[in-house]
Amino acid sequence: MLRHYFLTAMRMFARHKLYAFLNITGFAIGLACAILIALYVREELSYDRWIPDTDHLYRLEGSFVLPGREPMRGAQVPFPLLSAVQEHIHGVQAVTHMMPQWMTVNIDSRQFRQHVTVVDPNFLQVIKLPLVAGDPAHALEQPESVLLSQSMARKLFGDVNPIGKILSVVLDRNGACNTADSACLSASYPLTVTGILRDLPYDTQLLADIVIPNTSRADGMSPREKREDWGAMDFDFGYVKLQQGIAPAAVLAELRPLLDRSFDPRKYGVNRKASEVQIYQLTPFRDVHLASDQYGGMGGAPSGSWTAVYGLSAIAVLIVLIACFNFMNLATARATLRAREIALRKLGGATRTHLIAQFLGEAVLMALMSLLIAVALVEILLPVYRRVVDRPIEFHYLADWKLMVALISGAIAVGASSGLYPAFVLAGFRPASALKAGASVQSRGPGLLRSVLVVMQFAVSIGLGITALVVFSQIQFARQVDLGFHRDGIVVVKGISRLTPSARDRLAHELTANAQIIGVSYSNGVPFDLFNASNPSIAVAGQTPSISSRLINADPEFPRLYDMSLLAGRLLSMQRGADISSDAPSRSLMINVTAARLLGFTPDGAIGKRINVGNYLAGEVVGVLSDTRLSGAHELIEPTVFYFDPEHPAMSKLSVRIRGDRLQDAVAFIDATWKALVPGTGINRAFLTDDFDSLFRADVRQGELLGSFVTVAICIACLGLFGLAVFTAERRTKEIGIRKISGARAVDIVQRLLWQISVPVLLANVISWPVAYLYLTRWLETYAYRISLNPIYFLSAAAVALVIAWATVLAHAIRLARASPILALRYE
Amino acid sequence: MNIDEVLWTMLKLKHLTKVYRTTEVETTALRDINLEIAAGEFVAVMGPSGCGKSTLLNVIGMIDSPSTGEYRFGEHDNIANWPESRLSRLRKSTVGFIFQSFNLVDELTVFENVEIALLYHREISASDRRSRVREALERMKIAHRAQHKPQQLSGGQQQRAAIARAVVSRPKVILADEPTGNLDSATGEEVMQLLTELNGEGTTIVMVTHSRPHAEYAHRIINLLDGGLVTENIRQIA
Repeated sequence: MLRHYFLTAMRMFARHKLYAFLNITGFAIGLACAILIALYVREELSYDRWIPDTDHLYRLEGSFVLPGREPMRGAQVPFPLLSAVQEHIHGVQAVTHMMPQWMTVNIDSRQFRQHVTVVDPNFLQVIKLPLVAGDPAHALEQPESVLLSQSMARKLFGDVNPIGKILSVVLDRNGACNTADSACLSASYPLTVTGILRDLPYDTQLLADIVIPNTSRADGMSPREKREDWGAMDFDFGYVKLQQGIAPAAVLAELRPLLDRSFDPRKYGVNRKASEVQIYQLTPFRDVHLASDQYGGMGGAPSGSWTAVYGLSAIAVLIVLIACFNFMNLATARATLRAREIALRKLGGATRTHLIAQFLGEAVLMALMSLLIAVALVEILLPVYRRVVDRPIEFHYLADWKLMVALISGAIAVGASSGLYPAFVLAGFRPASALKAGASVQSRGPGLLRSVLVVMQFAVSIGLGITALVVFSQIQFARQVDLGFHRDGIVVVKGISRLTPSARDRLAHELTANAQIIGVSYSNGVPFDLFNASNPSIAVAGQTPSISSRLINADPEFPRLYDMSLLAGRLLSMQRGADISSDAPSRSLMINVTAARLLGFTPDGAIGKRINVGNYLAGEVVGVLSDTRLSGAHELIEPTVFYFDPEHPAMSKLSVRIRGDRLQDAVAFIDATWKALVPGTGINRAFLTDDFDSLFRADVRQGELLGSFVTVAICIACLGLFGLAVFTAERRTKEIGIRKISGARAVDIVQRLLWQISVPVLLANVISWPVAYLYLTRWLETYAYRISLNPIYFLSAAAVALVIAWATVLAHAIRLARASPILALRYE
Repeated sequence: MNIDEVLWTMLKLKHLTKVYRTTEVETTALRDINLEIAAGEFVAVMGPSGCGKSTLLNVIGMIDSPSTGEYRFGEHDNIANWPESRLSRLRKSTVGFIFQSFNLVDELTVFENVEIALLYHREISASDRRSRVREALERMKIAHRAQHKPQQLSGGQQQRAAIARAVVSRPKVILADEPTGNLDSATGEEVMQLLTELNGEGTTIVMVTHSRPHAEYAHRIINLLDGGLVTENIRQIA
């Protein structure tokens, strides 16, 4: 019996090759997409689940709120806050600080610039990373101890047993040193290896290749900073383990008064309560990758997002649905062809159940054949896919037996559910009507359903198409927004703050001596990296209304180096005492046009005005600069104040502008100069354009993924449309024949067939346009500078879908229209 | 060509053959047919299955072309060599078809089915078209089923709808391929009455049939055997 059914099915496929091909290909492509997406989603959901005992573990994350602006979401905490949480808040079992710092690791004469993660001594008790050597209870007990990951140990010590070996580190930034104390800044601290961490897999939020306790002298954060630096929300990651049964909300409720008691933001020129300026949340440890790493994680792996997981899952479901719709469409469309077979089986005694089982079986068989092809497709596409999603996604059949079982049962479910309706329709035929010559077995039901399914398919395809168009256009637009400053050929050397001012000047001097280098400038922030810039409120002296601003400490070269234009007054000058003075009350300031406008001045009118910056800085405006979008197109232009205080410890960045033609030579020169002047520490530098590109990396990836899946969705929909066109046209040869003998020309017939294909495609727009509009309006709101949702995107997606649909069926329509009508009318 | 021929001859086939070729076989469907049908004549074509009756009808109806020979239709001399587009124009204004299996489009209503025959006549306005369709339906006593689908009709009603479609364009010639083949005898008679009535109004009718009694309605019966014309019986008009 089974053999009979199997043979019938295989012969059916062999005889109706086009039908089998369309169905299997459609299914296979759909399933391949679904598998790829499932692999991605599985990988995204696996983050940090491999670490034991994290049920009550949270990351405490602070956001910074300025009056009248969107909160700036962050993922970190000020060091002293986390310590206070441990001490004062009820229900907290343990906390641990985790602070990755750049250091140069020296072993004998070899140097490695590495992230060193500085943690509390209880770290391994709170986050139970497995050790392959050493005792977790004591490994971080001694202040000058260090843990290495397996691969880091191999990198530093080769095959020698590293336990007990010594390495020394030089800090990029050492908060304990006076800025002029070069001996302190370049001090080297020896550490003893006390344990080996099992290599962290890819799917973790943590960065832990080299781990030292924060009791060590090699911690770049000084004891004073650890006690008092309540404003620094950009160094430390804070993990909190709650006692069982304690709700995160309760902890946060206690945290607010604690914050207000401990920290007064007025020190930073903000007239608000601490709990209004800093807002905290507890993110479950295992959700961090998807929920909050995008706001600034440790940076071990690219951050994920729930939006991407949900969005891609939705796309996977939609694509599989399109493939199922295809199957249902083609199967019911072909019902007539099998009517006779069904009738004969019924005459032979087959019950409805027999027939349903047979047709379901065929559908499942087809789905399983598709799965085979889909798996092969996945193998072919995986290398490209890995690059596009930027994740090391693997697919092992045996090791992933659970996934395989899921896939096979998924394919069976997909086959069965799409086979169910056709099976019922087919099994319901009455033999008498099926055997009557010339009688039609079409009823209205399946025809209507088919149209609905085609409309749905195209609605999904058009919706995805509009989204892809808008995403691409917005990325293009955001890249091309005039940011108002020069960004090509600029190398930013970071970590300058560890140099003494005199060492810094020597570096600048030697660099400018090179003919390839146009200029250099120090600052506390550079475009796309304004982490160290502070955000005080500013006001005209003697007036109360104040606006929040961004304060950038930069030397007089800065505006020239970045080609910012001067609209009024003058630039700062190294020659004028008030311009470079560290004496706060009498400083010269520059502001941008937006700041001038918000303070109530024209550019010229602002010159000579005295303004207060926070509570700690005041000065006279000497120049007004053009507006610049220093954070890229995601944000609106900030009112910005520029001043220059050469003594300030946060002057961490050196911008170097290079002549266009010989970048490589100039960069090699910068590296060599750094190495000669700062022998203990590796250089940390990057091209500004790379930082700029990284702003768009996530968007570009999203765009690429979307683009590929739209293509796939449209391809599958077209396969189905083609099949449907072929089969309905076959069924309608009689009608076409009648029209032809009534005088219809081939053109009339083709027009008619194309129009019939167009109706569902046009109707699909009614569904896809509003949905796409709502989604895209929300998506675009994340950009400060955005394109408007021009109808052209909607129209072009619809037009492309229509043209593709036409192209799909045109050749067939022409063939049909030109066929002789007698062929159509002779046979029934 | 003399004037009588133009006035009285509706169509004329001269040494006409039709050969079907596939890669392996060559089938002669029509063999040296010489046939003249006068305007207003009612001709029945008889013969066993496979003798070429339907092919003859298709060639006469210009939906199939002869392999060799001449075909004159009305005042048009040799239309055998005409291109399809020109034939199509001639066909739609002069020929109506009736089939054994009705060939109604299941998805369209009776009204829409009949309308197809006028749809491609650009010179007929939409309102004219609708009134002519209604007229034809009333004439065939099927107007009350105008909004029904063919599947909801009896065989006789379906054939009446098909005849309405054939006459609505007011053709000079109606070609009927076994019009009563799928009908019971009473309904068959009814259809034959209708055809006779149309013929009485001047329409030339060529009808293929297996039924001797129905053939007797015609003025002349032509017998085909293996693609060749065997006999012609001219029935005495009573």
